[in-house]
Formats: sequence, C-alpha cells, structure tokens
Amino acid sequence: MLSNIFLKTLRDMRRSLIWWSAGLVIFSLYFMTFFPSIQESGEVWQDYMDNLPASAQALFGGEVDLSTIEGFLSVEVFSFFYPILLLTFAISYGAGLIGSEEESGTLDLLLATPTPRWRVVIEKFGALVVFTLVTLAACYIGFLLGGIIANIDEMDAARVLEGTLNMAPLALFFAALALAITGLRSGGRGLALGVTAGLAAFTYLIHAMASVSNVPEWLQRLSPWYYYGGNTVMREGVSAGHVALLLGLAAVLVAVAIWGLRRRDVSV
Amino acid sequence: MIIETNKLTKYYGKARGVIDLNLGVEQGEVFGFLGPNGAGKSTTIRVLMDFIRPTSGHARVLGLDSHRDALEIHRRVGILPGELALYPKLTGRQMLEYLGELRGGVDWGYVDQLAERLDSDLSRQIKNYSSGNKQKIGLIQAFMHRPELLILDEPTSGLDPLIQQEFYAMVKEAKEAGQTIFLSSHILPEVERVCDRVGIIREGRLVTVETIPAIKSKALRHLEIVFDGPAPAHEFERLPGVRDVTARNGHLRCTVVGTLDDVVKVAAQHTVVNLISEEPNLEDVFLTFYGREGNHAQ
Repeated sequence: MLSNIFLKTLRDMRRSLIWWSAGLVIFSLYFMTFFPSIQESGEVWQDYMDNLPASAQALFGGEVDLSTIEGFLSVEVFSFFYPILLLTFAISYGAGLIGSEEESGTLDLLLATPTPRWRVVIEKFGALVVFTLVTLAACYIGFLLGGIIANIDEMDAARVLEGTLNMAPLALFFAALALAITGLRSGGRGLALGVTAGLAAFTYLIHAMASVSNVPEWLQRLSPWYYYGGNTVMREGVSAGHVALLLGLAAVLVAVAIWGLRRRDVSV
Repeated sequence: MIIETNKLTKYYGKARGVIDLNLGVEQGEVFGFLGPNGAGKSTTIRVLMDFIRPTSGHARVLGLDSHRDALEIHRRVGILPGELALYPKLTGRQMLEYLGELRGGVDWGYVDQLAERLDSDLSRQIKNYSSGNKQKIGLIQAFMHRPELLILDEPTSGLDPLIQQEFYAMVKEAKEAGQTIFLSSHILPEVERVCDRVGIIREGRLVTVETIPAIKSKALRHLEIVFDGPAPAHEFERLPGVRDVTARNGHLRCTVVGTLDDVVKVAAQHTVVNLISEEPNLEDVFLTFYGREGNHAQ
C-alpha cells in the first residue's frame, strides 16, 4: 500500500472508508425498512407532504408520490439527504488531498522525490474517486438488502443503482472544487472547506427554490444541483449529458488544481 | 559546478528571503552554508529543490536548471528539509519504504546499515518518535539512494552528541565516495569540523565564501585564563591579535583573533589554574568580517 501516492492516499483513508461503508450499509438498510410503514399510512404521509408549504416541499424535491418506492427514494434519499451526507466527506477530503500535506509540511518530502506535481494531484484525486465509488457501493448494498428484508417487491434494482451512482458526479465536482482552491492557494485548506461547503449549500437552495419562486432559468443552470437531478432520477433515469457535464467540470477543476500547484510556491 | 546560483533573489511578498545570491559549490566538496536562523538558508535550499521559485535570478543544480529540470535533479539529489515533517501514522520503515518506492526502489541493505549506524529504531510509529529520532529518518531518506548531491538543512538539529559524531563520519565517507555535500548550519564549530569551504549568509546576502583555515585564522575567540596569583595583563596586551584585555584578581579575559599559540606560550610562563576558551559564536565571526557593522544582527 506504499508503492505509490494513489495507494498511500487510499491507505490513509482506509479506516474512515471501512467505517463509512459499514455505517452506510447498515443505515441504508435500516432506512429502507421504513418504506412499508410509510406506504401503509400512505395517505397520512401524503397529506402531510401536500400540506407543507411549497417551499418546504421544494426542499424535499417537490411533489412526489410517497406511496411508491421510487417516490420514497427520490424524496428521502436522493434529493437531499444522501447527497449532503456524501458531500460532507467529499469536500473535506477534497480540501485535504493537497491541503493537509502542505499544512503538515510533508509535501516537501513528497515533492523531493522525482514525482511531478501533476501526478501528486491526479493520484490523490484518483484515490478519492475510489473512495467515493466504494461508499456508493455500500449505500447500494444497503438499499438492496433493505429491499429484500422489507419485502419491497416493486423495487427496480437497476434504477436504484442508477440513482446511487448518479451522486458520484456531484460529489466529485465539489471535491474537485475544494481541491482546485488548495491547488491555487498555499495554506488554502480552511478556505477551500468554507467556500466549497458554502457554495454547495447556496446552490442547493437556488435549485430547491426554483420550483416555487421565480428563479430565472439562467441562475438555475448555474447550480450543479440542477444537473444532478436527484428528485427525477428514479422516474427518468440519469441524464448522460448532465453526468458528462459535471464530470467534465470536475476534470477541469482538477486541471486547475494542477495548474495552480505547478506555478506556485509550496509553503513550509 | 554542482550548485550555482546567479543573482538569486527571493522575496515572500515584501519579506526578504535572499538577495542577489551568487553561490558556487564544486564537485566533491563539503560546502557549509552558515548563518543565523532567518538568514535565508532554507529559502536558498527550497529554491534549489524547486519547492519555491526565485523572484529573480536563477539556480542550477548538477548543471541543470532548478525549475525546468527539477525532476532530474530530484532523482539525483538527497535532501533533508529544514522543517522536517513525516507521516505520523507510518512507522519509520514504512516512511522510508514509501519514499524509496517513489524513487523506484532503494537498496534495503544500505538502508538498514544507515539505520544501524544512526541507532534508529524503524519499527515504531513516527508519532512516538522524539525529534532526534525523526531527524534520523530524515537523514536516512536523504542518504538512502546514494545521491550525487546531498543537501542537508541543519542536519544535526535534535541529534545527541554520539549520533552527531556518526553523522560527521557519514559525511566524510560520502565525500570520499565522491558525493558533494551542501550543508546548512548556524553552528560554526560544526561547519569547521566537516566542511571544506564555508559560505556565510546574513540577512539574505552572501557575505563571504572562505576556506575553513581562513575562517579559523580570522575567528575571534573569547579566552579566560585563571592564574595562581595576579594576572599579568600587560604581558598579553602587547601580543598581536589580542584585544580587550581585562584583569581582575587572578582572572584574565581577552579576545584573540586567529590562533591561541602566542597567548598560550606567554601564559605558560606563569602558573595556570584554568583556561577557558569559548567556541567562537556567529556574531563574533560577523564582527570579524564586517567590523562594527555586525551590530546590525541585533
């Protein structure tokens, strides 16, 4: 696990990866077992949802039918709760890939080896991609197991997989944004955390409010959440174009990180 | 030239790093880079390693451009950074394994040999290491790929005296093996001991480059001689190179430039109870090289 930067970075994440994954399997499983009771008391829940103010409904992904598993997953899982959960670690790891090594001073020894700076960035981000995919796999396993235990027959496993994987581009986009800030600025870890988390929250609000107030279309399109589409993915599947856009932007941000790190001084 | 800087200047915003530094280190020598903390030693070294970029001027290492050919330089240079930081969760061995792998593998027989010489326990986690033990790992990783050039920033900081001796021996052997060593320090005796030439840096500027014998001949020493009777101050005042003679009871204090030979021979004509020679400190060296201007350092 110490033969290159990619594996070393994964090694550093391994404890957190194991706990996150184990936690997400159990949590996702547990979450799914709520569905039958919600479905049974469907009308009550639906009334509750329908009677919420439109703006609160928007936060949960707009008008959805909670009596179907698709609706349940859209509202309770993919529109808000799980992406936020995943973003917390994606952003903090993204800010730490370069930021932590520079903060602690170990970047000097790393760069004293014949390793180009672009490679440090790419290998470290690669490790974060793997981390993200493993945690998403853990979520998926939890959903499936929960579906089996709770006897949810009508669940479309392929569609749930689509919905789960659909979170990866969003998480990687924000992780790459945090990475780019630390690439541009030495000692930028705190800044990267703050700015990226703030932007994630702010752009979510823009997106959520779009359906109830007059948020202009161009502003909606500035929000990464617009392209994420967590509340429609269970109905319509993933949009390849949107996935490509978010991943493309993530790649651009990684390139920005490389560009920034290559041209700047490394701080002690 | 193994290291060559040409009008190298580095500012951190408005803060001074180094100014117009012209440095030349030749193949196979042990070059000491001497100066007080904050003089610009680490700045120079970090430019040589391309961790930071010069504001103006440039540096060449092993005949290569410090920025454009950084990877090739890194391949052939071993460096001990001044502010050494290691991965706390790795053991010493894992730390070396990682850095070794990033260099495409190293000779582990040699690594073990280095660890044994420096009495370094590689099996424990770095977070449990003392600063001296961390420094040993820093030294091993600098030496382990037998680089053509060793750049060592304050190499003995934190090492206990016995290990320091072993380090000096390693430097000597490296020189015999044809390696070039560039070593920064703020301790004059250390530099005197291991180096062939010394560059003295102060407030970002290279003051002088001298051979060790030349430094020694100019160095100021504070001397105290305790006589078994009144101190014969007048006998010493006449000696060339002796200044600031003061005597009280049997105690005589003076400052000597160069060797102590004359002073010792005069003293030997009396009964000497004790003789205390302080190692010349850096400020004294500066005084020699810039006269009264040395007060600037305060």
